[in-house]
Amino acid sequence: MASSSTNKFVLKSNDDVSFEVTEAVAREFQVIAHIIDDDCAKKAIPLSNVTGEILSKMIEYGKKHIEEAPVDEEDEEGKKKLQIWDEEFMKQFNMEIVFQLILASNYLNNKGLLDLTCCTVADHIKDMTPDEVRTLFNVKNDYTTEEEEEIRKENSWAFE
Amino acid sequence: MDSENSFKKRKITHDLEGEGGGLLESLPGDILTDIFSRLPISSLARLMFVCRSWRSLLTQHGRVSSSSSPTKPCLLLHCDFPIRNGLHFLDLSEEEKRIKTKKFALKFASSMPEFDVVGSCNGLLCLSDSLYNDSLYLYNPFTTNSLELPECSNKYHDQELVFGFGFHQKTKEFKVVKIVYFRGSSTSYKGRGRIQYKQSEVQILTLSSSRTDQSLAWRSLGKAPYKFVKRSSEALVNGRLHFVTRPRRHVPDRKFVSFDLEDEEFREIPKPDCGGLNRTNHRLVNLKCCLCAVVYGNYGKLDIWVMKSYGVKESWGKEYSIGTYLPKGLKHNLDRPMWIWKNAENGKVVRVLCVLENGEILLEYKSRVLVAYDPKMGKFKDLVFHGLPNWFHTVVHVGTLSWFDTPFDL
Repeated sequence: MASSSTNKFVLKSNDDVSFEVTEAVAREFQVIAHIIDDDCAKKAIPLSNVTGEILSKMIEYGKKHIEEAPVDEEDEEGKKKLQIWDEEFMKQFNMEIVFQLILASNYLNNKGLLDLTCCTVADHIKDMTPDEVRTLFNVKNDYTTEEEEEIRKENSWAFE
Repeated sequence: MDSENSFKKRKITHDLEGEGGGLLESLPGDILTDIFSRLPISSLARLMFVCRSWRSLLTQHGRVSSSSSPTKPCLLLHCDFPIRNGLHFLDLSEEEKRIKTKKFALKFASSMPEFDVVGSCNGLLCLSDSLYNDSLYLYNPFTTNSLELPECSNKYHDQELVFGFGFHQKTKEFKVVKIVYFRGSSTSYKGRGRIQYKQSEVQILTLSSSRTDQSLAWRSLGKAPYKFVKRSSEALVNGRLHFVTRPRRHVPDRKFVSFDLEDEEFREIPKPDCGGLNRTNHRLVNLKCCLCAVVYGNYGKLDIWVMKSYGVKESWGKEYSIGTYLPKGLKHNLDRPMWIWKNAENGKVVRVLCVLENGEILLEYKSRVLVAYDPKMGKFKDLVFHGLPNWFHTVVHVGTLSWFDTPFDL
């Protein structure tokens, strides 16, 4: 059996973009690892839920985390370096892309990226007013004006 | 199982492409709760007001927890001087530079102008009316849910009360325990000197998270087997509340007694070998899920004894020794009259609140200053937050948006 660094697989997005990746990178995504283990990965692996744009970003993330993986649990410096890269990596995306990354990392089962993207959303909405959150998530306000007034009065601290 | 999961995921992604609802509805529920659980309680409380369905997800589900935890707690600061009517909070789970003192608007202010905090458990507070001591409230300050507990049918004119409030993991029930010491109606007070409360009754109220049809009523457990020191139990460990007995003429020793919230029995707990205990020189607290005895020495020095395995006498050990310290904030001459805080805190200058995530011990000095003590370096650090009230009684609280009838995930 070829080693996982030379063995290559092709991942194919739902808009027909193909990416050749090493087995190690492919295995960063649990679902693909299962496909490889089941020996179903002779040719290209089609990923019906992921666009080429998103898949390329996920592969970029997966590669980085293989190449720069901390040596061991004690490697605080390595962890820190990767964490800084993660933060920079997320800065390039708008919320819509972040949401697609969440869904795709949930689908392909990459816990690290799922954690990172969820964290990004949490940070983003942390200081938002209910109104800003409604706009971002396209949610309709179904409280009456009286109810809203009461809420503001009782929870004045939350709106300071 | 796997194929079922991926089917679910596929369906959800498909909905997103359909662009029917908002972005958020496209996320599977568990991801949404994952995102919410990373938020501080103040953000979650704001999110309740986005729309009704979010409110019910955040409050009813029982799954969404905030980022606060026993080692990164919310501190509720009860302003107890000159009037016991204010409640502020500090969320220590937030980044340090974001932590700010915020003040709650209290819903019950008109019916209960002054109150004491009986206890905090699983995000809920039990409050008692400090003017009349008759009414008790259950309260979640972050949702403003409040419930006045029913009055007890057995009432005594001249009484002394010891309270306890807690939750048991197994039964999923909150219980309020009220131990009443009173003078029997037959023995009218004649002589001078100390009033003796010879009669007693233990009353208990159960708040179940599983039964929705419950009618709340007090039950009597009969006479109290011990005479406890008059203060609420601060130490809930292993589903048991802990109290300290008063010495009696023929039994001079104090005892540690637990009250099991499941079987409702009182049991004696072994004590540490820390020397004699009197009325003011010790406190029982819960630190890192262990029963601990804070034993005070002179000049604000204290030792913390920890019972590492619950109920095992040999496991008691002296874990921390904290020396004398005078926080900078206390150097200003702003002391309230001696007798007031002496009365409120039994003369104790330092209260041990909790152990923080970084291993530091959080202390409250003279009801005025919060201090983090680093046991490794033996160093003290005053915690200064904008808007801190002048005097306060700190309650360690884990912020949630749940209520007592919120179902718990097993």
